[in-house]
Amino acid sequence: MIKNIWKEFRKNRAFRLGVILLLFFISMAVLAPVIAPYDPEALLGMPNQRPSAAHWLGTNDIGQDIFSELVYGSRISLKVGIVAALAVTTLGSTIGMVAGYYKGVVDKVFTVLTNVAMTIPSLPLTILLVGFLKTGMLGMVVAICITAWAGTARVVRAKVLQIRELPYIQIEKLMGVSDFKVLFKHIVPNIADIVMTRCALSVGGAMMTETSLSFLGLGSFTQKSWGNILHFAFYRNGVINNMWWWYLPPILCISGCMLGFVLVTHYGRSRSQLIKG
Amino acid sequence: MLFPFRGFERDLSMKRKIILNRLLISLGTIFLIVTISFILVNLMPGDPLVNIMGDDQYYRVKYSDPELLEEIAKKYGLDGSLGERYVKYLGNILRLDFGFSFTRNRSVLDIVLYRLRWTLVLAVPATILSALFGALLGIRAGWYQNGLLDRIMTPLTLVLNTIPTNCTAILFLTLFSYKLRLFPISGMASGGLTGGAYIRDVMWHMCLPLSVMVLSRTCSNFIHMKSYVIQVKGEEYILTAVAKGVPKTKVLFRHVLKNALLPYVTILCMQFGHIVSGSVMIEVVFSWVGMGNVMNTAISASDFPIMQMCFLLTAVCMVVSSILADVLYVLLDPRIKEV
Repeated sequence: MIKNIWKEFRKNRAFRLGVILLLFFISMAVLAPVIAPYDPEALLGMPNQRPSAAHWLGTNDIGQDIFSELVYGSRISLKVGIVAALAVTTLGSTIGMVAGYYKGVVDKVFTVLTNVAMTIPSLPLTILLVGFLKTGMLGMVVAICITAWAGTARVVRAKVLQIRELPYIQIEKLMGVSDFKVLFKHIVPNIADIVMTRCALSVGGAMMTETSLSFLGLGSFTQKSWGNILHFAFYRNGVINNMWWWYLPPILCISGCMLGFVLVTHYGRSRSQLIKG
Repeated sequence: MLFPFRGFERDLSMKRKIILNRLLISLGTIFLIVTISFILVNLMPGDPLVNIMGDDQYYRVKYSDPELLEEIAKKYGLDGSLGERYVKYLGNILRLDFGFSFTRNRSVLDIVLYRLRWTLVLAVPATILSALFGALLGIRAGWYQNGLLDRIMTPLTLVLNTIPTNCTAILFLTLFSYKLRLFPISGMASGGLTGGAYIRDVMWHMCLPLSVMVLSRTCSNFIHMKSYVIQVKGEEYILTAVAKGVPKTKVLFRHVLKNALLPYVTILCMQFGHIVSGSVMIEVVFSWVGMGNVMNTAISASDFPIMQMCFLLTAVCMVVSSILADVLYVLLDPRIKEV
C-alpha cells in the first residue's frame, strides 16, 4: 500500500502536488500551538493593524492576531470536513453496498431514495436545513450528511453490482458463506479505492459547504474556521477597507486545501492512462 | 427491419411508459418534500411556536397574555392535533397559501415572488451564457485534445473550480469595484431612474455578479462537455467514420456532437433547478436582494414561514428540472427502451 503510494507520488505530478498541499495543511492543523505566535482568542490591543513583524497578517477588528486565527482555523475547517466526509462516506457506501449486493426490492427502494436525494443536494438546501436544525457544528455536519450521501451511494452500488457477478463471489455464495463475510472480506477490499476517492472528494465538498455556511454566519461562533474569519472580514468592513491581509489568506487556504483534496483523487490516474495507451 | 413502423410504435409506447413512471416518482418526491418541510417545523423539540416566535417573545407572551398565545397559534394553524394540522397544511399548500412572514407581516408568497423576479434577472442570463461558453470551449478542447486551449483551460478550470463562489465574488468586488472603481459596490439600481436609463443602470449593476456566476458555471460546464466529447471520440463508430473518409468537420458535427450534446442537455436541465437559489453566495456578497438574500435574512431572524417556502420552492424546482432532464433524455435518445 505505502509502496504503491510512493510509486504514484514519484510518477504522478497532480497527485504529488495534492499530497504536498494536504500535508502542508494537515501539519498546520496538528502543529497549530507551535506555529501560531498568539492565542487566537486573545485580545492583543490595537485593532485593525497592518501586517508587521509582530503580527504577520495584522490584527482584526477586535485586536486578535489574524495569522494565529488562520492557523487554528485549519483545525476547525479540517475537522468539520473530515467528520462530515466520514459520515457521508459511511452512510453512502453502506447504502450503495446493500443495494448493489442484495438487488431486488431493496435495490429498487434505495435507488428511488438515491434519486430523490440526488435531486435535493445543493447548497441552498443545506443552508435551509442548518437554519432549521439550529446553527453550530453538529447541525452543519448533519445537514451536509443529509444532502451529500447520494453520489457516493450511486457510485458504490454500480461497482458492487459488477463485483457480485464475478465467479469467485458466486462460488462463495453457492458454498454458503455468509453474506456478512462475503461483503466485508471480498467486496469491501475491492471497492476500497473508490470509497477512498469519494471520501477525499467529500472532504473537499464538505469543507466548501462549511466555508459557505460559516461565511453566512451559520457556523459555530465559538470555534473559528476559515469561513468564519472571512465572515468577519466581510461584515466588519475588512473587505470595504481593502485589508487584503484579512480576507485574502483565508480564501487562499480554503482554495489550496480544496485543490489538495481534488488532486489527491487523481491517484491511479496515470496508471490507467498507461494501460489505455 | 421488416416492420420498422411497428417497432417504432412499440418504442414510443415504451417511452411513454418510462416518462409516466418518472412523473409518478417525482410527484411522490414532491409530496415527500412537502412532508419533510412540515416535519422540520412541527416536530422539532419544544412548542413550534417557540421556533416561530423566538425564545424571548414566546416566554414574554406566555406569561403576560396566554390567550394571545392561543390566538397566535390559531393564526399559524398550530392548534389541534398533529394529524389535523398536517391535513390543514396540505390544503394550504394546494391553495398556494404559505402564511404570513413573522418579521415583515406580509404574505410570504408576495415577498418571495417579488424577490424571485430579481434572482431570475440574474440567474437566467447566467445559466444561458455559461451553457454557451462551456459548450463552445469544451467542444474545442475535447476535439483538439492536448491542444493549446485544452492545456490552458483544463488546469485553469480545475483551480477555479476549487475556489468557493463567495471567495471569487469577494475578489471581484475588491478588484473591480474598490480598486479600479469600474462597477458599483452593491445593490441592484440607483434610485430615481425610469425607462431605458433604469434598464441600463440595472445592467450596469448586474455586470459583476453576473460575471462571477458565469465564470463559476462555465468552469463546470467546460469540464463536463470536454469529457463527453472525449468519451464519444473514443467510440468505434467514430473510428469507422474517420476510416471511411468522412471529412473531419462532418464527423464532429454529425457524429460526435450529436452524441455528446445529449448528456450536456441533461446537465443544463439540472442547472435550471439551481436557478431559484443557487446564487445565494453571490447575492449576499453583492447585496443583490433576491431569493438568496431573503433566505439568509429569514434564517438569521428565524422567520420560519419564509424559510419553509424557500425550502419548498427550491426543492420543487429541482425535482421539476430533474424530471425535465429525464424526459428530455428519454425523448432525445433513441437507444433508451427500458425502464
